Amino acid sequence: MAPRTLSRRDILRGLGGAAIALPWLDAMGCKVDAPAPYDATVTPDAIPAEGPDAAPDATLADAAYDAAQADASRMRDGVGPRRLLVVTVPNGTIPSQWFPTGGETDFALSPILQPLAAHRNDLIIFKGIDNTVTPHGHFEAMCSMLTGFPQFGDREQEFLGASISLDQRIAQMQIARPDAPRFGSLVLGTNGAQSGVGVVSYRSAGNVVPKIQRASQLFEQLFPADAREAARRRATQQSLLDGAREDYNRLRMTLGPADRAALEGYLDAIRELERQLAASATALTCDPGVPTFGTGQNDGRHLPEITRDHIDALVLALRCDLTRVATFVTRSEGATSSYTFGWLGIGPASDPYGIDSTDDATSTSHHSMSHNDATPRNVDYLTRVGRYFTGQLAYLIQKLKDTPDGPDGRSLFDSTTILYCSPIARGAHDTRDLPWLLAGSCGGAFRTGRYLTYEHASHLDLLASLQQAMGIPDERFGALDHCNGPLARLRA
Amino acid sequence: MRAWLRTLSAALALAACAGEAPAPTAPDAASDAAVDAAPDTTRDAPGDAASARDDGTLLVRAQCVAGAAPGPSPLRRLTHVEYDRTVRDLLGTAMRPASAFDAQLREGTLDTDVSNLTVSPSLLARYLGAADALAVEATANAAALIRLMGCDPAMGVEAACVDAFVTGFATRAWRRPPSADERATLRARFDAGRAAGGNVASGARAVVRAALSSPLFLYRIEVGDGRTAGGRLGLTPWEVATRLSYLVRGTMPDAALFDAASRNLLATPAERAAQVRRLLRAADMTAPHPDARDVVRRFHAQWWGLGALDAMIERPDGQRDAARYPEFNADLARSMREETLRFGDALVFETGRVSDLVGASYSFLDARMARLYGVAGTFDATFRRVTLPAAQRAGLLTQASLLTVNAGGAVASPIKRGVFVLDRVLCAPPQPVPGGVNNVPPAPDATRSNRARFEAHTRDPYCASCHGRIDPLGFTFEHYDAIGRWQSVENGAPIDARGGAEVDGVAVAADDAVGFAARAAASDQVRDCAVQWWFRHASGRAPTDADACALAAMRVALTASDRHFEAMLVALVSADDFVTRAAAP
Repeated sequence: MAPRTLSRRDILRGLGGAAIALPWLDAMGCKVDAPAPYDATVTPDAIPAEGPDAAPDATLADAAYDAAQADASRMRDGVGPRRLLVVTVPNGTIPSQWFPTGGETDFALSPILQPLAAHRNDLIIFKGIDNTVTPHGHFEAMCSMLTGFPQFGDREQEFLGASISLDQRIAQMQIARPDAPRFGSLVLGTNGAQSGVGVVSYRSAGNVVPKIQRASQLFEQLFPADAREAARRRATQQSLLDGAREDYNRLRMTLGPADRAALEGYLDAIRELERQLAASATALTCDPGVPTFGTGQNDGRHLPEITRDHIDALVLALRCDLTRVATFVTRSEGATSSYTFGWLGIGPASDPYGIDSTDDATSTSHHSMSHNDATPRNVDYLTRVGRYFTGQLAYLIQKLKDTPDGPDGRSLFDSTTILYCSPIARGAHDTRDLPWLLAGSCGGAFRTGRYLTYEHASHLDLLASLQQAMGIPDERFGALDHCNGPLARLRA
Repeated sequence: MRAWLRTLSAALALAACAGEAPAPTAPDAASDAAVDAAPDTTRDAPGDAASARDDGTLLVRAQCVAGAAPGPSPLRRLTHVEYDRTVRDLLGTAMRPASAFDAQLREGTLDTDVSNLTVSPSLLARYLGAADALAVEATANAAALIRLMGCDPAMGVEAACVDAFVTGFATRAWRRPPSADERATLRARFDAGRAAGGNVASGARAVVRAALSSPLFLYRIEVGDGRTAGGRLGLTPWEVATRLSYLVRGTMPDAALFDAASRNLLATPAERAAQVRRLLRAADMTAPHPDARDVVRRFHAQWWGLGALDAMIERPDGQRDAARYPEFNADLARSMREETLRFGDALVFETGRVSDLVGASYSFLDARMARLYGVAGTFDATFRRVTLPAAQRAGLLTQASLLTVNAGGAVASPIKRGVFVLDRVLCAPPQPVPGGVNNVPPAPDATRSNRARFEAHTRDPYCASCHGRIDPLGFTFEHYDAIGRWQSVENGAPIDARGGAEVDGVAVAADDAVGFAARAAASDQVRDCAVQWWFRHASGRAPTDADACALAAMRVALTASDRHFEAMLVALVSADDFVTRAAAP
């Protein structure tokens, strides 16, 4: 059986630690791959299955400390800790109905951006941002959008992100902070695929962060209903985690490097659960109240309600400082998006809230319409769809503005920035001239109320800016041959 | 591209698609729509597949080199279905905890692919919750406890009963005997549980919880027997038993396999072959074993892309134009699905040949399907084997399930059908749709054929770099409407279903899908592609050049005159690769 049996108790007795294996193995002369620091220069295929044993790397630990200091200093001025929300909308837009007219500060909002009129001075609308990493494709763009690397996989259906995504990198930093929130990040979605075209968040290459798809489930996770039951569950979980970790340690020593790397994801999960458990034992500092969430099926008919529920639950999580990073995939991308928009009057007469599987010019499915975006009908329909989504963004912004944060009359919005983004620019799969915007200054990091145009800047430059605003000082994010450093003219 | 295909593409490209693609709009609105709509000629042709092999397929062409190291054996977590079956067999429970786990299957992949088998914190939390619930149920009362422990701790020496339980349970849960150290740890868990709860049940509960939360349960761990030769590490008999059991039945080894492992019988190919034959069948050795059949059905449904049909069964409204297809409903979709899965059963359990996959003259119909296919005779709700109308149907590709999945709501989609055959049957998937194209065909109209609509749409030479392969193949299915009914006339004109594809490197032209099937059924490419899908199912990954020997053995098994899919499975488990893995460098 196990060719090398080395009692864990022997080790513990010798070293007197409760931490996990790496240094011990080295000390015992076992060959162990050196922890790989995050290195964006390696090609994604060659990225080692970067385990949490290797992380947090020194940079991230330093960044976490500095970010906590910086937030503390800002909080003394009455501004809350910086927060990043990523909201993705599917299938691009109608460019002529999206981009504003006018100059940097005297711009006029377009039809699709009109629902954001009340927040005009809190926006930074971009033109000329390209995803150069993957110049086209629903699948490809979903994989590269937040990871900054091309997807891997031989066949389209197998495509997955090939590196850690921006939100998860920042989440890693968040949980390394001395004032770590309970959750490094929250990842939400309404429904649809839990990979490929349905997700943008990756813990590491191929390692999807599944979306929480019901607001009620999210709320229960954030605020367990019965404290005693929760305490019992915690105790059981903790003891099982101890056991799982012990088994892991013993097992790890018997495995070859490839299996060991594969098992890192498991250890990662153990660590994250342990951390959440530990954090959940501390009392909440705020009362979330008793919100009611819709009970309708997770389908097209209830999408508006589900989307609102998600936003409400998310704002509660931010208000109670349970997390400072969240990603919300409003709907899946591409050919899986054969859904319609019955509540906007867009859908087949037989069932306007369902799906429309016709794929020709008569189709009212989001995906088919977006591919056929030059007909007057579809320009009208897709403009309405675009306005629906920006209306949801306006709701989120208003909700954040209405939520006090700290004693000085500030709101959650003051410390937040929302990256509102679509993986592709428009239905024809292009990723040039992405219809992206930022809402909120992220606690003064960005100067808002502007329409910024660029000569084909990489979307990775914008991600690098967000990374820096959130406290990770790295100049670049993702593929180094695409990212040129933080986006110009963004800072306050 | 072969000359024949070039000619065919050129024919398709005769008229420009200017009338169909969105014409560039006024120059000043140009900034967005018009510029982006124009194909960007500076791009690489979308057909240049970085990942495809030289011949444009994913087929492994490497020669078997005897004694070379095998391909990788990635660490595999239990799939959700395997998890449920395993706890059923381990504990006799009726609970199906995995129904609450995060779904991870992506359409177009297999649930056994390691890329679908990652563990997120939320999944781990579900595992822990399930371990707790299962342990509570297994120790709920005295009878359950005795069943679980295999002895009555109240009778005789409690310590002896507990020790036997710990060893026996760990052996079954971890699919191999525990080490002394592991036994001691579990025993300590028992003692702590017993002390905390004050009874044996609490102790046993702690053992079950711990065993089910362990990576030794959740993953199929293969540490090997320590013997390496020629870059190969031998597997232990327990690991071989586990491979056999999950391959065929998707669950933990049964008593007979454990017994064979404990007596080290699985080292011989003959014994492994006998085990596969046994595992495929129920105790009477004639009917398929229900687990084996479920494994095969699940695999076929994923390989053949029937997930979309499940969605239609769940929500039939809006899936098909109600005016054109009033008979389409969940029942019909269910019958379509059953026909195809029943056909798949026959391939594996009734000595189907690989040439039947595409070329079979038979299928299995109930009254609904017989009506849809226009087959006369007495039918009811049960499916029975029939000989198909030879001019209209042959094998898998003309089954209504696939024709429906690969169609739009109103009319058939030659593109989806062509892509399907290329990807799933010929292992030559086209590249993803590039940017800057409008890939939505114009609306159906009564003045021209479906084919004409699509031909117009893909005339652009840029589009033709992929569609030159996709469309001619898809057009052979023009006789079948969006629910797979055969038709000879469309809009008052006879249907033109001529087309074809490159098979085995040779252009195959056919008058229709049945003609194509006749030419492709016995091809090496269809056989090799089927072998690769099965290999993938068995290995959790796509094959590589290092797997050439196992693939070759599987191909040979399917080629010999009286051979069939069962023989291919036997070849797979008989291969040296099945009982070894690549030694760590």
